[in-house]
Amino acid sequence: MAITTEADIVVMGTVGLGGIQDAPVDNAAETLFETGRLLRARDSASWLCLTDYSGSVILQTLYFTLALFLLLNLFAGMWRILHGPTSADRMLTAQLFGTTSVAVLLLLAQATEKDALRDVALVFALLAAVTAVAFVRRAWPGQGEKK
Amino acid sequence: MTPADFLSAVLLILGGVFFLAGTLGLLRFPDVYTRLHALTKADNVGLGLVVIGLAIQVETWAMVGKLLLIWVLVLIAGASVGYLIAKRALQRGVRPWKR
Repeated sequence: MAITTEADIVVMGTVGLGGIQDAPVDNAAETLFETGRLLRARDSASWLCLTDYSGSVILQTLYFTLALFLLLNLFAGMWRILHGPTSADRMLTAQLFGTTSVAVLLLLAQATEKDALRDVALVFALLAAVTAVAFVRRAWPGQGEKK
Repeated sequence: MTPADFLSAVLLILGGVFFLAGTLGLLRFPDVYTRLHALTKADNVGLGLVVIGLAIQVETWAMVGKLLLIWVLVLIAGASVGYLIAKRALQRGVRPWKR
C-alpha cells in the first residue's frame, strides 16, 4: 500500500486504533506492510459482511413475496366457497386456509423474527384436524345419523 | 448468499409452486374427491418444502423441532380430512367423477 493522499493516512490511523498498536513501529516499511495486510483483512471482512447481508436481504424479500403469493392463493381459493357445489367443497377451502395460513405464519415469523407467530401456526395446525372432524360429525352428517 | 441460503430459497420457491398446484386443483378439478386429492397432497408437500427451507435458517434445534412438529400436525390433519370427507361424501351419495 502506498501513501498517496491524506485520506490514506487517516484510514491507517483508524486501523491503527483497531489493532496495530503492537506492530513494530521502529521499522516504517514493516508498519506499512502490516497496515496494508490489516486493511486487506478488513476489506475482505466487510466484503463477507456485505455478501452475508445481501443474502439475508434476498431471503427477506423472498419470505415476504412468498407470503404475499400464498395470500393470493387463499384469495383465489375463495372462488370455491362461492361456487360449492356441496358444503364439502366449501370445507375444502377451509382446509386450504389451514395449510396455507400455517405456511404464511411460518414465513412471517422467520421474516420478522417474531417467534410467537410460530406458536400461532402450531395452534392452527392443531385445530385443522379438529375442524374436519367437527364438520363431518355436526355439519354434514351421513344418512343414518341425520338430526 | 451462502449455499444454505441458496438451498432454502430453492426449497421455498418449490414449496410455493406446490401450493399453487394445490390451489389450481381446488379450483379446476371436477368433483370433491379429486379436489381432496389435490389439496391434501400438494399443499402438504408445499408446506413440507417451506418448512424444510425455513428449518435451514432458524437458529436453534428446538425451533427446527417445532417446525417439523407443525408439519407433522398438518400432515395428520390432511390425512384425517381426506379420509373423513371422502367417506362421508360416498355415504351421502356424491358420485365420483367419471369421464
